[in-house]
Amino acid sequence: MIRVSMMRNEKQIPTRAGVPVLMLLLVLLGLPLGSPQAQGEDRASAIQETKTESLASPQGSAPKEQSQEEPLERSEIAPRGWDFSQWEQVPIQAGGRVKPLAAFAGEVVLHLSSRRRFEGWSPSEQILSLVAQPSAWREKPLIKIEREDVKRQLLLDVSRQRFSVSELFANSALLQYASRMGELESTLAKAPHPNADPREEELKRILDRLTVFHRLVSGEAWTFQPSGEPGGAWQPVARPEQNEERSLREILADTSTSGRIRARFIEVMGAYLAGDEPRFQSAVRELRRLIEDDAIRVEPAFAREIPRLKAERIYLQVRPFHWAWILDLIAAIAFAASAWVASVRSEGQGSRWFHRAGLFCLTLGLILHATGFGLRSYVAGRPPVSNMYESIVWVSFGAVVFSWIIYAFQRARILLGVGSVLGALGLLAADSAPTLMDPGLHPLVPVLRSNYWLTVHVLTITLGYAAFALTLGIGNVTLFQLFRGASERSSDVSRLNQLTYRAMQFGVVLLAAGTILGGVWADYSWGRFWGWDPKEVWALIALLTYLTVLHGRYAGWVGPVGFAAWTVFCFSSVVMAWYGVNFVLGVGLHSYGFSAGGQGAVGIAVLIQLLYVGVVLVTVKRRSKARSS
Amino acid sequence: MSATKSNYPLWVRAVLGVYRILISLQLAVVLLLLLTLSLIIATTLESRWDTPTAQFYVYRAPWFAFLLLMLGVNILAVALSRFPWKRRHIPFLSAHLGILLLLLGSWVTRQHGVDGLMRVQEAEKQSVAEIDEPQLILRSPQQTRIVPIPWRPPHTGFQPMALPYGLSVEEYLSRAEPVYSFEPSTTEQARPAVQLKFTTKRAMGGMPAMAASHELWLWEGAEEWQSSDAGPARVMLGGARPQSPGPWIWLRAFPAKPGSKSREMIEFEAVSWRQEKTQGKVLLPARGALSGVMLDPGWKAVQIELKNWVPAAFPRTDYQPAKVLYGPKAPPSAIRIRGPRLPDGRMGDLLWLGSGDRATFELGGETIQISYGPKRVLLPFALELQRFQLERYPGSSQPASFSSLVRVEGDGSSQKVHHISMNEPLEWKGFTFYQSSYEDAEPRPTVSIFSVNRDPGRALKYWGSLILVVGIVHFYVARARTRRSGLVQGSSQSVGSSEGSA
Repeated sequence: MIRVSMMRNEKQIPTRAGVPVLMLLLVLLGLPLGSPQAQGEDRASAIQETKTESLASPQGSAPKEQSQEEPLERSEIAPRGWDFSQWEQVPIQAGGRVKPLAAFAGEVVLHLSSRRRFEGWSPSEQILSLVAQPSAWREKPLIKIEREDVKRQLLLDVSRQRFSVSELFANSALLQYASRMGELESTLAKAPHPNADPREEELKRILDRLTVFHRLVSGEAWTFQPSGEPGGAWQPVARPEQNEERSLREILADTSTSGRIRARFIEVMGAYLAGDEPRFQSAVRELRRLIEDDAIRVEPAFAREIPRLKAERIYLQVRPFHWAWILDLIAAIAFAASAWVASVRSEGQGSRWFHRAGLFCLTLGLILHATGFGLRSYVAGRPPVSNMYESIVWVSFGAVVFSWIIYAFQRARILLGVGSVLGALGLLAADSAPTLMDPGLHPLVPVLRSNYWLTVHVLTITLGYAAFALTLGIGNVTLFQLFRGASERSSDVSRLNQLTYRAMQFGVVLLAAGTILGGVWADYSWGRFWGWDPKEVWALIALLTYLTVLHGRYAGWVGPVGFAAWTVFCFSSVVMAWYGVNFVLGVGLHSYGFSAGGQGAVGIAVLIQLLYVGVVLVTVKRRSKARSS
Repeated sequence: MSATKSNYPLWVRAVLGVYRILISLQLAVVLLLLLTLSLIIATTLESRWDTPTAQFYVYRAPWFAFLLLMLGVNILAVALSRFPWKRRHIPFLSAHLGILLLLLGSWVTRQHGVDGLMRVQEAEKQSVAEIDEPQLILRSPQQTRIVPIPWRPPHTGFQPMALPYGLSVEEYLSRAEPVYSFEPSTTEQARPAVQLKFTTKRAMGGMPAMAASHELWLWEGAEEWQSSDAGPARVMLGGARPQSPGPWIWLRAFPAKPGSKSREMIEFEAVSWRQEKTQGKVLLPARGALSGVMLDPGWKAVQIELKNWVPAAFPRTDYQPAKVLYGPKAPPSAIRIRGPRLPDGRMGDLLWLGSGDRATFELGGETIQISYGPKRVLLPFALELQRFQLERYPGSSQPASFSSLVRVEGDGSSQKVHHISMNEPLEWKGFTFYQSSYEDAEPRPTVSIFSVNRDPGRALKYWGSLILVVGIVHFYVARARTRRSGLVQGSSQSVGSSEGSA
């Protein structure tokens, strides 16, 4: 009834985007969805309702109007390619903090589609289009289901990767599962537990993605309206349960701040749908100004947040780590070319040029890397070492810096080559697996907050990992030299051993200090210095393996070949301490870092490394036998 | 360094031999490898089973302590073997002294430290900290004896264990869950008890109808036993007539009065889903077991059978192995005690004790009270929780911080309110209180959980850490300097000789 009255009013308004705006209002105010409170309690019924709604008529009512709008909406679903920089800067509170819309959009799109960008849409435009053209998006195969057993359980086509929202809403097996699930927390920006049943996790994730889609379309997810009190929760532009009996004219004429924000949001979408870019830009600017002014009015300290929001958008747009790995990779190729040219013609000018090019790229990459790290620290208000993504970024940074430092003393070009490869590999891994290593910025759990020792101990330990990564790199180069036929006693090998030893010293000092600082932090925060917690224990195991090798080398039991091989074995313990405890073991007090996935890739990488060592050792042994006989 | 001379007496040669092994680098490397291996096993156990299991097999096992002791002895012997010490030994010595101090500090903590938990309800006082070391306390009028019963993982086998006063521990369950039964009793607290069996027939979304049955006990003697949930319906025994909407069944038991000839019976009233009321009563046979006695409220989908009837009953708690044997959700342990031998020579009675349970035994006219549970440490003061605060990140359910406002109540009655939060502990008379976690279940009052700690080995550990790190850094700096000054060249094997050969 409400909708009917609204429609009647609607027809009298001469607006250019009349029909779409009406549709938007229907979307915003008229969808018969569960309230946010009821969402968790009765997800099944929410889905049920949506199902009927999406099957019967995409807008839930008014089939007559519907039939006219449908083709219009369908035909226009393609990226417009406008300038969305203003739209990306609109502040929104989500996941416990205020962030620019670009960050919110990135998180939502990654969650929904398991990709950074979906079919050429920029995330910011995609979520706008999602809410403006929902029925088209419902039919798009958006949601990725990877596990075959889940697809079979849901009686879905196993050969397909992606499924549309509407076909999942219509899936009765999923509905049954949802009704059994009861209340669950959103998995958006939440890492799965390594010991959780992966099939169950996938099902939960599907349900959660449907809910997120739904909350976007219903307007509930758009928490644009600053809270009435400092530190409070921001309110969404529309609540589905508020089926107010108001006309569009009234809504647009509502002069309260929240009303104006809502009206502006509707205008933004209307302009987007109508393809009217100038009106879109002015509405977005107005929306942003309204939100910022209101937030500052409630909480004057918010004014200081605005540059931070700007910085975050720049951070997201520039993608410093993306470009840093490309530069590191170019540097690595240049160094390799330099070494190759030098080996082909000694004293060649070309070698020096390639080396300079490599130096230039590596320096530029390092600057970009450091800038990105600094920017991220500034945006987060803390040093970014709270999850796998951040620690990989930091460790690859450390590896490059250590290669520079040791290069400064030892003047061995190979160091820079190894450093650039490590930098490129680390950042590439972090940049290319966003579903595994969440690149989002999230608030910290209580135990990690405002803690000096946390920062110091994590930074120190992971810097130790960086130094060990360098030993691994140099160790691999040494093994390669040995494989190519270099003698154990050659000056080349002993020089490389010397460099490995230097890097290992850095690593041992940092890991020992970091582990102890971890004890200091644990004492300060949990009340005991050492509690045999798996994360602590694995840091100790890594330290012990390196100490064993150093003592063995000191006693003369570990020769040059063995030393190079041991860098690989020892680094496996670092991999276990760093990745394994969080992603495989999944027990202990460091639970805030736990996640799942990637076991296959990491396992294969470790296996290939060990195989390589085996091949080299066998080759070297055979050769020495042949020589002696 | 110590030349063996065959003309030395045997014992001298033996001592020298042991000494050589103790100062050898081989021993150090072997110990380091063994330690690494046992730690890998421990973390695997912890991941596969749980923390207590890993502690039982490795961290708290005697052989692990021996391994650490050997490491300490090795380090000490190596350090002493360099005597008389020279200037160049300083980094080497300080690195090893650091490790020794760390090991010593850990030993002091393990022997004399307190590491427990304290649960304080809002607006209440608490002065007892619980330590995760189960023990049995036997209290006679004359004395109190404490017998530690260390936790052991399931399936490890348990040998009966003799206790004072002729008692013994006969059985041990690592993870126990209670089983309640109601037996005839002549005590004053005895009240009627019934056991009901609910059989529900239901068809689920296209699947064939399944029969699910569910048994439960009701007892009039205590509020928590008076009502129970049987599927969607609520069942009650005794008390006032329920006012809530259906479905529910309310039973009233009428045991035979002494002297009266009337038969025992149970009356019931039921209200269905559709709020239809039914009433009925069941007369119980004078004696003998019940079978096929049905209570029929007229509900189509549910059958209710009266399985057991005890006119004067008292609950009895036994334990059985829990379904969840490992992990944080696994319940605590339970033990089965055999009482003292009876005067006529028969074996004593058996009695289960779960964590927190207590019981009494009569022995030679004396009452002996026994209780089982975690070790409790009485602090010389009490902590009063005034308020517990929980803050969440705006617009999300994620906690941002939680903290407690407490007042310490001791001999000097201080009125000061202390603030304990994550990373901001309270120190009081050698004890440190850390905000550990909380229980925020809605109807109950909020409980704040503190970790209570006294660590006499702390100073040793801190000094050890400092000396160790400074030692390692000094070691590498000194070595780099020797190399640069050209004293020693080539590979580090020969550099190592500056520390003296092992």
